[in-house]
This record gives sequence, C-alpha cells and structure tokens, in this order.
Amino acid sequence: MNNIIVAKDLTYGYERDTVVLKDINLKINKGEMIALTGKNGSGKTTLSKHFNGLLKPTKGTILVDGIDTREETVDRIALKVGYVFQNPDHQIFNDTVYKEAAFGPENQGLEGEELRKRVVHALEAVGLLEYENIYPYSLSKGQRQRLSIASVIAMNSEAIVLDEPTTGLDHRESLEIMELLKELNSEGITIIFITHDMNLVAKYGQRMIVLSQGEIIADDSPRNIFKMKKVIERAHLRVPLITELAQELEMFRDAPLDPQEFFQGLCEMRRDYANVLTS
Amino acid sequence: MSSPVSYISRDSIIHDLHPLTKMIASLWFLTLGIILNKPVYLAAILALILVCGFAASISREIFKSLKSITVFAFIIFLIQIIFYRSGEVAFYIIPGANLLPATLEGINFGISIALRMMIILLSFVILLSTTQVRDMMMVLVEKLKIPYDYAFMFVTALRFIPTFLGEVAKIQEAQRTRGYKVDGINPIKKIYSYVPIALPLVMMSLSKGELLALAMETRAYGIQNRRTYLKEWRMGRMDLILIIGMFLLIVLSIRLV
Repeated sequence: MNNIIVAKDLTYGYERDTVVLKDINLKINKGEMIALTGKNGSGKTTLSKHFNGLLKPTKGTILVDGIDTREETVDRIALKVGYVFQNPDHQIFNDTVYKEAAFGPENQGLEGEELRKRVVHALEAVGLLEYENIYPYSLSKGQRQRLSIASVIAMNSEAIVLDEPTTGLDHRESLEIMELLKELNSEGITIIFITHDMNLVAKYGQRMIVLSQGEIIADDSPRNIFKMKKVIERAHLRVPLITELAQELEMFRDAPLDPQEFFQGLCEMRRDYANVLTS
Repeated sequence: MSSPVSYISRDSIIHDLHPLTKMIASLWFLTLGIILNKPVYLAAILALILVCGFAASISREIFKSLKSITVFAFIIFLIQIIFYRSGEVAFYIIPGANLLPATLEGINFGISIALRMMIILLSFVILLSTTQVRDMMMVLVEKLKIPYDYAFMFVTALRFIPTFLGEVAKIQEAQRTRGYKVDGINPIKKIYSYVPIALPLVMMSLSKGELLALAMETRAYGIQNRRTYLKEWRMGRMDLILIIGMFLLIVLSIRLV
C-alpha cells in the first residue's frame, strides 16, 4: 500500500452546530513532504489531529495506513503517525533529555539494548546526543522543540505531523528544524508540517495543501499554488517576496521561488537578449 | 470550557441587588438550613430559594442544576434511612425478609438532611450565577476591609481554573500520542502514572504565574493603596429592606427551634 493517510468525506465539528472541517478528501502518499497552510482558524490543527486519531471524524472516514482511526486507540496509531505539538513544554516532564526521548519507546514496550539504540539514534538525528544527561528545561526553545521531535523519532513512526514547528524560533533555529525534517524525509519518513511561513513552504514543501474555512481550496506544488491569486488571497497567505517581485515584473516564464532561481531567470533572460542582438 | 456554575448575565432584580446583600442572603440561607430541622420549614426555605431563582430569571438553569442536586439528595436520603436505627419502624426496605428497617425518625431525618443539602447548594448556585466574582471581590475589599492582595489572589485562582483545564487537555493529548496511558489498579502506580501530566502542568503554571506577576507590575499593580473600580455598587432601598427582613426572620426562626 502506498497511501499512509486516506481521508474520505471527512467532516468534523467540535459541537453539534459548528462544522470545522467539511468533506475533506485527501490522499497522502508514503514519503511525501507536505506543507499544510491556511489562515488561523481554518482547521489546520483540527485536520492534522485526525492523522493520528487524536480526533475522530463526526462523518466520513480516515484511514491511517489502512486502519480506520475510529477502531483503534491513539497510542496504537501513534506507532504509525507521530505528532509534534506546537509547544514542546506540553510534554516535557523527565529530568534528563535521554529519559524524555525514551518515554515513547518505553510505552511501546522496548527495553535494553534496542531501547538504547533507538533513543541514541533519535537524539543523534536532532543533534542533542551530547546533552543526553542534561535537564530538559535548561535547553533553549529550539533545542526543546528538537527534543520533542526526537521523542517522536524514537517511536519509529512512519509519518510525523508537526504543528507549527518553527513558531517562536529564530531564523537559524527554524532552518535547523526544517533541514532535520528534510533529512528524515530523505530516509523515507512522511513529513506533514503546519506553517504560516511561505518561505519555508517554498523551500521545503514538495506539496502544499491550503485550507480555508474547513475546506481544502488548493492541493498542488507550492510553485503552482503561488500563481493562484484567489487562493492566496482567500487563505490570507503571502507568497515569498522574491516570487511576488517576479510576478509583478511579469518578465519570468515561471515565477521563481527563491533568490537563486530569480538570478538564474535573469541570466537566462540576458542570454536570450544577447542571442536576439547577435542574430 | 465552562465551570459547572458560572455567571449568567440577565436583567433582573436579583442581578441588580448589591453583591453584599446577595452574599448575606447566601449565608442567611446557609444558617437557616443549619438551625431549622423540621422538613416543613426546610421545604419552605427551599421554595423561597426557587422563587429567588425565578426572580433572577434563571429558572431554566436552576432547574437543570436542581435535577442533578436532587439525585444527590436522594442518595443521601437513602443512606440516612438505611443507617438510622432508632425509633418506630415504618417499613422494611427489603419487605419479604424484614431486612433494613426504615424508621419514622430516620425518614424524617433523611428528608431534613436532603433538603438541607439542596438549600445550601442551590443558594450558592444562585449567588454565583447572579453575581460576578469581581463584584464580590470588590465588596470584600471595600466593605469588609479584606486586603486587596488576598481577594485578588482568590479571584485569579478561580479565573485560571478553565485555563488550566485547557492546558491539561493539551498535555494529555501530547502524552497520548507518545503511547501514554493511565492504567493499573495499584494506587501508588496510578499516582506515578500521573507524573507525565502533572509535571508539565506545574512547570507551565510556574512560568504563567511569573508572567502574570510581571504583566501586573508593568501595569502599576500595588502603586497606590486606594484603588478605584470600574463599577461602584451602592446599597439601594431594596437592599436595606431585604437585609432587615432577613435579620428579623432569623430572630423569628431561632424562636421556632
């Protein structure tokens, strides 16, 4: 099976009359790296909590690796899909970094050498192995965020959902987190990250899903979605400045996503121009 | 998330009463509930409370809490008649085998206790649903000269209960995704299994408290001894009449006992 998550006519309301998600149809393949975006209150977090059974649809179904989430408990589904919450402080309770990362696999029943291997691998992946005996609250916010990612990696999930993993981090910390996710993705782990930062979407999102008022209004590559003015407007997004500039200039065949592409585009244009002059 | 009893904003004579009057009334109901012991008197007091609820135009909400309180009251009543042994036997709870005798006195006593509980709970339900906590605090500080810091502490603690419940829900979600479960019958194990919830909550509360203190200080908390309030309450004629009436009734009821 190639799909890790399949949602069919998924509808969800916190209370009887309010509908947060409306008829969501979605397929996520194994190994994808997806950016989930939309303005505040559009249902991003609610949708993402369906991916590991924290919320169950009020109508429709969602299958996680073929399992209907309504028929399994969260801790079982967590083996398939890990979830990193926005605020790492909602989960840290151990007195060392190592113990914190070991909590998930311990719950899964791992022990001895295997447990040690898993935790060391997870801490190594996030670059926190040297801090393994340190008190977690003495880490910086970015490090605590990486610790919460490590505690999910240690559970060996096939997919990881991250709710705004870079909120409150500085530029460098954000990039470190995103590079880490890219690395994990290249190892075959499906990554779904919620974010408002279009620069990160442009750089790291292979696929972009835009939610507005509980509905998916666009599901395509960032490059294509950045061209959809109406979608961008409706979702209160703003494309990266360099893309916007290129769009305003109307000189590029395909609007660039970053300065490098912009520069390449300019070079091509100059070459074309030179060709025109010489011929 | 809402707590079971919260302020309900309505336009009524009860809402317009001075908070002090309503607080006195609650204590008055409490006192009457304790000193009176005949079911008839207690039933009359309960009826009076229901009238108050009606006058506050919150009868629907009161009826709702009355339903759950009645269940509790009935359980208390049952326990009383089962364990009350002296007096004349009225009937047997298990008739065939003449087991568990219910005595007349026991029934009487059970009804009193049940009514008493209903009176005490309902009077506070009405107080809390018609009076805002900050108004009560203001009265405590202004009229009863309780230091503002203590009153503030109390009100803030109340105000943070829903916030903390929200935090607990979030922490629980986070730990559940890590395969965490509260299980086992062993009480010591059970206490230990709450550590993953309790510890993050304590840490977050501490930092929240610190932030709150800073936010208050930056808005000049404690700069002056005398403070003013957004809404100043004044004792009206109705308040005085009620307070005097309650005082007279309590004198009368002491003679009744």
